Amino acid sequence: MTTSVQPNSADPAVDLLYRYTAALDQFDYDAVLAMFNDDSTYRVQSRRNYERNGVLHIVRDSYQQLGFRLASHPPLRLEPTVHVIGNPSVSREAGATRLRATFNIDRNGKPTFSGEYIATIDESGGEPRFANLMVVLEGDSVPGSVQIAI
Amino acid sequence: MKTVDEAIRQRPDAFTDRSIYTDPTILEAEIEHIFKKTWVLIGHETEIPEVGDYVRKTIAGQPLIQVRGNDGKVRVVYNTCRHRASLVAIEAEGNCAKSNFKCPYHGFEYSADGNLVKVPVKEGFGEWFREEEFGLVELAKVDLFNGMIFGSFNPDVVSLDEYLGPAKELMAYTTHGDGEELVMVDTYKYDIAGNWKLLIDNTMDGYHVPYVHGGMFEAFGIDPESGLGGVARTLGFHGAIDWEEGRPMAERTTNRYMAIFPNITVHYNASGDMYAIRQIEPIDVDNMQVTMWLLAPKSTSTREMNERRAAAFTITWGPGGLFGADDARQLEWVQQGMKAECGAPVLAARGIEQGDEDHWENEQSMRGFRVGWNHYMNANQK
Repeated sequence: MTTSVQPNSADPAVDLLYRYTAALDQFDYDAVLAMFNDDSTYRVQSRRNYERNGVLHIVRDSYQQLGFRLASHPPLRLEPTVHVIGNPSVSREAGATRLRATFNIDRNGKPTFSGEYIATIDESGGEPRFANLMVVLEGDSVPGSVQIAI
Repeated sequence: MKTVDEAIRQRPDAFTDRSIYTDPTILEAEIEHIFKKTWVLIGHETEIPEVGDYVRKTIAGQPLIQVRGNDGKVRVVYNTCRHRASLVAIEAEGNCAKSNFKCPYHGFEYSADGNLVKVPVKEGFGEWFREEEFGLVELAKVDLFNGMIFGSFNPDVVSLDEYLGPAKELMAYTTHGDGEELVMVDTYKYDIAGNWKLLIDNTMDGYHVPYVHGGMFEAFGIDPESGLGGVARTLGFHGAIDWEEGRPMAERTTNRYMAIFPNITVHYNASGDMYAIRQIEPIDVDNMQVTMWLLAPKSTSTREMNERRAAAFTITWGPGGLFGADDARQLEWVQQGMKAECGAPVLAARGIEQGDEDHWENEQSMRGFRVGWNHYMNANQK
């Protein structure tokens, strides 16, 4: 399955996040995985534990584990998601690209997750890829299960 | 040949009317007759190691504060000002040793011991108003078990020892790090769109494992039909899945899962040296909130070791774990199916014809929970 997403941001780091969330919304998990370096990490953590540098995450995947997660679940087409990205900011210092952006995610038409993407992006190889993606969830309680990436 | 109707008559614990999972009035009765009559888990002592440390809790819908007083004692108090009822602890957790609990409405201040220590412009109240009679109200009963803080809204509840009864020995072992005190490593909460009882049922249900988690079995090259192993045991109203049935506690090395009636599950997973407790709070009849604590033996609760434990824990458990997420999704589908007003009961009947043999696929522990449920719900309707 090919993703028909076109770049819609002038910044390639922000564009990577747009393409990532669009691919999730389109159930194109091969495209999702292709946006990560093969030594990357994908993590989901509550705001409480993120701010405290806590050890406990909701998801704490290596690239291989993320691949397994995406491959082992059939696309949940009965539960479509809509990701909305807000307030992206990018910093580039000493060769490191850092991206932060807020998000809301509707699942099956209902507001479900909100929070912040905090990413380190590798731009050394032409096409930018996630070196690390941390999804920080707002709220006292994680409002639903995270079978696939969010 | 026995009919379904005969089986239902003989074993009401094995056949459940769907409405107990879907009727809001039954949830109201559960809150009154179960959650407010039994012992319930409040939290863990190591959440509040220092004087003045506190954590807000909601148990049976009640706003509570778990706090370590100036005297070092763990208290559970209602989170409500004695003046105009406002919450006095607003933050989810913190330390009140210096700041006190300060009501944001009119400035009443309460110490970590719950004593009222400041009343702005007190003279206006008159001589009948004595601070010592207006401290934060304490929960009727509080007792500790291996660091776990249990409480009861019922002043006449039996002792915690008596309440745990036949589950006490395995519980003591499972929550004591093979002879060593456990400390909290980290915690989070998550919601599942299912009735609160479903997670207890699921934890004590070995039968589902090869099917809900079949993809994981296949991925790791394990025959799904090989199943979970262990035995499902009933321990009074409590339950356990035990992989070392009959072995002396001190010689045990492998997994053990327990469900303590009504609202907690307790786990030890040997593969990652992971101790965990889950506390289940009904949000409404269709939704539950789960508080999860990861624990570790005190002497090995280092950052490095806990990183490893947390990694092993997260890949399997919780709302993002490869097993936990599948369970949560499955329970949502069960809850939706429970709404079918088709007149047919749901079953926890596997094994009743084998004399309730403690086989991993039998639904023995689920039935034990149901016996407890029936006991408290019926006892309080007399």
